Amino acid sequence: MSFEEKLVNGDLPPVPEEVHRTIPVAWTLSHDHAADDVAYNSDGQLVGATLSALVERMTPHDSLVEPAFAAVFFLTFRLFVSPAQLVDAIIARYNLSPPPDLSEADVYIWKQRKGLPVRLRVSNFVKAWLETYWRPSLDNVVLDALLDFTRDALATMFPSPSQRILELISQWRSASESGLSLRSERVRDAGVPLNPPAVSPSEVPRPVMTKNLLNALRSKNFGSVSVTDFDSLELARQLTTMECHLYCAIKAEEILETGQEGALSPVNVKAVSSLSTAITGFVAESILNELDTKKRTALVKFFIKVADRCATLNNFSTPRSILAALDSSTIARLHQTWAGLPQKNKLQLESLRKLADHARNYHEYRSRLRNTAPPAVPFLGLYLTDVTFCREGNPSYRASPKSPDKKLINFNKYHKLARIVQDMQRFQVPYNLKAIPEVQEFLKDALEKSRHRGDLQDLYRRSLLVEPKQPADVPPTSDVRQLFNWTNRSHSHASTSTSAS
Amino acid sequence: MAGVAWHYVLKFIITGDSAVGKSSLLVRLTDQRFLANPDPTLGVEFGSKLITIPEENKVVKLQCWDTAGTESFRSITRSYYRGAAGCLLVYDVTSRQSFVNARSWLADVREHADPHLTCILVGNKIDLCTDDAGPGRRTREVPSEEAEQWAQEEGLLFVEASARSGENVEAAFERATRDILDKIRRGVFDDDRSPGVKLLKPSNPNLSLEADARQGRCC
Repeated sequence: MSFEEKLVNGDLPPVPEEVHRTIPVAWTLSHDHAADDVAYNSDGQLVGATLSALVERMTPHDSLVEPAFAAVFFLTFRLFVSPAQLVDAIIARYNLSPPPDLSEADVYIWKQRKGLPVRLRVSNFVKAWLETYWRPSLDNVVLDALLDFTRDALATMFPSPSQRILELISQWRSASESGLSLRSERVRDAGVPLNPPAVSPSEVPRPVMTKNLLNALRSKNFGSVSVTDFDSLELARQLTTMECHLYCAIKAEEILETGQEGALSPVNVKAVSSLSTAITGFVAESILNELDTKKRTALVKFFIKVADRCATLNNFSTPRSILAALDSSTIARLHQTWAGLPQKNKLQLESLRKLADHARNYHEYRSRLRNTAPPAVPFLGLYLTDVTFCREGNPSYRASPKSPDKKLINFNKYHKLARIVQDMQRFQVPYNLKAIPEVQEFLKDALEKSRHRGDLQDLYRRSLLVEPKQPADVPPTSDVRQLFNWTNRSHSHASTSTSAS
Repeated sequence: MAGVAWHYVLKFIITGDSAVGKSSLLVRLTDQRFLANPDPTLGVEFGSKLITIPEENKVVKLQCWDTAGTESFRSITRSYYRGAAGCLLVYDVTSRQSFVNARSWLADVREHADPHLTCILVGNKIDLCTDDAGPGRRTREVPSEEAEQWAQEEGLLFVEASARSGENVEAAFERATRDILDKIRRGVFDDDRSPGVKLLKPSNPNLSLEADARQGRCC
């Protein structure tokens, strides 16, 4: 038959095989999501996506999942999807089927190059979730669904990884049945010191303590101990280890979900903020309890030094609490006390104020922190503020650039939230300092007492007691004027306490 | 914003329980997507907004200071109050508790802020108790009349607003600003000791309404 005859009779041979082969290759290379399911910024970073496009990115067929992306996803997914919805999405991903009308051979190629790798990554996804990112209080609701999925699907394909998954599922289940879920959550977080101190114990700085003081502390004769008996650096170290201990216990979710309606009370955040309040109270009370002006000045000077030493140790939390006391109306109005403060300490105080200054969005503090290597104790409140603004200031969804009617998850928002949390976690490293049990006990006792004593009214009364009001105070020098301002305000406040604005 | 003229800089604080929508109000007022583009670490001052009070013929730069997220660090947030000229005391009209707690926030403000400070009570989230609020609809737990009465007793200005719809957000800041400008005119802030009020030339010892509009330097 001539070519023409074949053409007329419809007897042309099928399209040559090579052409056929290029098609599955194209399939194995291409993405499964539609073009309008994703949005990228100018840096090529994924800023918006549908849930299935995100899950695809977590289980790519042609590469390993990017660890940084995976960390952001696992840290934040509960803010935009329920665990149950996520399970549905990963099962759908697992059930990805080859395009219709493929020959048997092509289906084989598709399975090898795409179907199988995707299923393996789904299995890895489930394992990583259970192993590293599981939050029993929120995720346990899908244990059954994951168990079924693992038994019915994963176990037939990947018997040995599935074994591990099944073990993890039963661990979480028995933990929840025995009411240990909270402890288990903590066990996971016990791995916090990612970078254990690489220094030998001999390099721990030698504590600075006099024998007399140590003996007084040992005999629990706390009443005979004045806070100024301590070396300011040693007290700063002891406060720093205390703060660091609490800071290291903060969990990512406590920061991420801060201030949200219905959020569980973040116990570890509360521990940090009540320590802050207690330190402020302790500092104010210590100063106000001293009736001798010279000794009061010495106390102010001492606390400035402690705050300064803390800042040197990269503890930025304690100085703020101390500053809050020194700048409070009850202390700031004590002119005679402040008048005796040496210039050197005034300068220290100024630089502490600068570090706490909120100008230009805490520029001073942020740049200092950025250039700080762990360990450090950042001011936790600023992370909470940043998260609050990031959450409130950015929409949860964004329009797809290709089809404006389509709503995509604004992944950029979650990426930014994760970055704030990761910066907080960066500093969760223990200090190479020795906690002296006797001092810790003294501090705990003192702080505990200030927690239960001295409301503001009471402190103000005591402030008036140690330095009564003087009607015509004129600020003598410009650098203390601010303090005098405060006083003027306090005075007028006292006389107009019932008036309004 | 360099090169924008303003006559006064007024420091505002926004306070109240967590989750009453303080930061949303600020986001709405300043129409800023705070962290949408710039890195939060770049040192850009946020919470600033220029508003014009036409009848006073004045451009005022509001510098708003939000305690959002740090509510539990009470001893530290107290120090934020220092030197504020205005205060937005925010509660959620669908949360009785947030209204009850407003008393204790007000006590903090009274204790630590300038006694001349202008305080406006803001009942937020009124969008949630309208008929078209949809599935998120919630019952109002604080009647307007009650809040208004309390505001009157305490000498506070009062407004109900919605950060979500934008209703009354700018109006709340404007009312407070007018009140502050009025105090300036009456000489309440007639010295340089109120750090919450700054003329555009900060070294100028006399606050005067006759101050010319000049190029204010905006950080």
